[in-house]
Amino acid sequence: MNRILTDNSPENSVVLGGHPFGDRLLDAGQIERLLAAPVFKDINPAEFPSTTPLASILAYHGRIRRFFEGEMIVMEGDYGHSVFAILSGELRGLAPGQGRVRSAVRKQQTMITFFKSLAQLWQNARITERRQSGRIEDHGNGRDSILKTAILEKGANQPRRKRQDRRTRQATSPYQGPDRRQATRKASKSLVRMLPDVAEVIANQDTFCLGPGDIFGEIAALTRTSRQNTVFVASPMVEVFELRWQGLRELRRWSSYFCAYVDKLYRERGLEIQVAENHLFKGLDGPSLQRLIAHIQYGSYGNFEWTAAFQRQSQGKESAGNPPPLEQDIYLQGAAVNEIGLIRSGFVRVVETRDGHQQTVGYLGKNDFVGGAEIRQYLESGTALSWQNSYRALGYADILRIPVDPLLETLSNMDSQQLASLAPRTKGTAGNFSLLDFLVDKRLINGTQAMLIDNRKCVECDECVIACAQNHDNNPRFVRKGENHGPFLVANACMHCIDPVCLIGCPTGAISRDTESGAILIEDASCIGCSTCANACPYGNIEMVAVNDSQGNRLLKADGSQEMRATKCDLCTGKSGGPACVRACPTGALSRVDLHRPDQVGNLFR
Amino acid sequence: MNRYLQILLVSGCTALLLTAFVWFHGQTSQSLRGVYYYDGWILAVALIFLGFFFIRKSLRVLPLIDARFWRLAHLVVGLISVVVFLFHAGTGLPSGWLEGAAWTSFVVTALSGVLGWLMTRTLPAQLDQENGRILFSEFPVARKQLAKDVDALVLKIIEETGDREFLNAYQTEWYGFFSQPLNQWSALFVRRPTATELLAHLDATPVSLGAGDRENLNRLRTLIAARGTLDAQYRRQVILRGWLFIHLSSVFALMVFSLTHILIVYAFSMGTP
Repeated sequence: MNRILTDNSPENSVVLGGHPFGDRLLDAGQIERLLAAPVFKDINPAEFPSTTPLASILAYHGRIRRFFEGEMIVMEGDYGHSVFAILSGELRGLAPGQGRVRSAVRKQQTMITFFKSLAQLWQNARITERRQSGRIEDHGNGRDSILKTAILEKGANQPRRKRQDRRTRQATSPYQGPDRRQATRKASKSLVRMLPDVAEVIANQDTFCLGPGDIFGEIAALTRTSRQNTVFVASPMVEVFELRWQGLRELRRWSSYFCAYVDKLYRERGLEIQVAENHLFKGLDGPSLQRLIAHIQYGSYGNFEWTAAFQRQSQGKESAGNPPPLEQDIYLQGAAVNEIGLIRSGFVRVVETRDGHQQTVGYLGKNDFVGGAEIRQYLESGTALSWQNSYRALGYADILRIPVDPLLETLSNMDSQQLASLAPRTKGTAGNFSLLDFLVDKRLINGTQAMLIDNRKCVECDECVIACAQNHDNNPRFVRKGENHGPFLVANACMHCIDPVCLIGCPTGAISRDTESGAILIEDASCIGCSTCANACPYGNIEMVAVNDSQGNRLLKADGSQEMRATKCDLCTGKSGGPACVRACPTGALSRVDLHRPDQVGNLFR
Repeated sequence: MNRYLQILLVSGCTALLLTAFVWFHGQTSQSLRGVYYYDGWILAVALIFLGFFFIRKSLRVLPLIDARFWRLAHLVVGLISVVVFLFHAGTGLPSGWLEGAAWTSFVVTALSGVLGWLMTRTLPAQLDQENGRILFSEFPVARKQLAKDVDALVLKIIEETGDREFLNAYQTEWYGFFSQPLNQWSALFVRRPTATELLAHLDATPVSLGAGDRENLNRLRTLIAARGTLDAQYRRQVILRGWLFIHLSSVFALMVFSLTHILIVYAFSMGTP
């Protein structure tokens, strides 16, 4: 067996990056068990370099976790950063779009009536960030108890019949006595989410089985997109090995078997759906689609963790000398086009080099084709197929690489109208290159609801800030500062990004995208104040705040530290009339704008 | 909505309402109750409507119509109320202290409103021209940072040049400029040098300069100019915020005097057909 790293020494951190995934490194016995598991037993350890042996990768980037009946391991819509391999027990996955189950665990946004809004005038507490102290003090388990209580509170809100069913099911569960209590304790300590009624879900919902040897979550971990399914425990207990994305990347890099295995899974589970959903390939018949998919390669450019470097550079904290590049070249201008890319996630900068001078001429986002313009030009005019521009991953871009030959074969049966969607022109700002540079350099193209303030109209009355505070626990959810472009200010308010990196890694799934409005929302009851989202946001638009009880005293955890919550703009979701900041601005200087819409952006900054 | 369309719509509404009022005034001028009765009540209703903008601004949690539309309506009705007031009170000066007080409070309210509107149209653009804005709450921090930078720079210059005259000039003239907050009231009574004057003074002060010191001096000039900009920004922001206090104070006075005026008019008009 390879040498296993047995401590968290700085040397190990340098080799493998950061800190171990689990509380401690996996021991030799656990590694031996993993290497005998169906998923890993065919990996050849000899393929790995001596600096990062297979066992060390598993020990450092993985952790073994136990879950108990009813616990949800991943939820549809969560943004994942790890893959799971089942070691024992049975899991069930819910087909995508099983909203009923989601609503049972995530609070549904309900509209506040006019009279309830009116009542806020005298009901609103004068204390800033007031929270109920009872749920923390009553349980006394510190941060772990918050989530459990939150879920129990949701359970209490269920109709009487459901609670009755739950009691009945518990009484007849084969997993009883001390083991059951242990299960509950474990559940409370490991920050998991409980499904209200497993039996009912299995009976009435469209589920699929997962057992030992299966892996799941690989698409989200690879592409940093939202989980496609909710997976919950259907047997009394399961053991899973959770491998974070860094480990998955390492295994794919060194093990040809594992790389092929994961790619195969990705093709089976995600690729076909994604390609078929693309506007260009929508009308393709099954065999043509399969022929095309067989040639598609997966490509990842840039760095998953670009946000930290971007934050440092934005704040001017980057050390002088050689800051790490935030952009990686994908295709270079002038080179021959052998393949084009379909962007799965992230953004791509389009750069034109003319007379030695580089100019950003556009950007591309999810579902756009990198090279679509070149292919279209080739089909229409028959010019030589070479890259007209350079393309760079903005921080990180996940791309499906489609070779030219099979693509041209597929496109040969399409009419000009269909081909038009191949290159809907790079997103630009009508020749305003200064604005384009500003938006792309600051990554503001990510925002769908950016707060734009026209300083020519802003009279410094602070009505927007006051209105926001009055609607949100007497604490505004934005700062009237930010990035300036001419007389315009893009304020530090959540932009509700297309690619919301803040969602990645939230241990409780408290931060999520609202399926109806598209807003990124934090469910206060599930937030444990871990700061993961606040640290991840590249724009610094999530604030950690200390919370108080009804008397204005700071709430403390069981260990004596300050209870914190993540807060950010929620677009006043649930309140009629839209964001209070926009409604309160007397001069119309403040607006919420979609900076990703190329047809609007140019007009906005005039 | 298109900006020009909006201007057209607002102008059209204003013209329509004014025409309607003038027509109504003509119709009621022959009324037995007297034209002042109707004009007065129209004015009172207009004033109440104008007050709704203040109420709207206070009820931020309610899903009421956007504040910008209220403000627009406030401007239109405010303009109309001035015309109604002229018809009601006439163009002459009032007689009697109560009428005088009501008249004065209305005029002050109207003038401060118009002045405020003009300032909100011009000052924001000026604020924006000066190297970006600074939040009002951050002025003290910015001043302190500037003073700290200047202190360090001047000490460096003195250490390098050993110029006593420069040190004296800094201690007597410039130190106060950087260390004191801009106090509008004290500035009225205590003469303090402006940034322009200080720059002129700096040019006139003989400093024994080496080649490298010129850079320091230029940096000092930049800091003086920065403080001048900061003070100008502060003054503008104070004006932008402050005019509303005058406007609102006169509004409350107007409310009191108008109510008294109505009560007295009714009290002494009993028996009129």
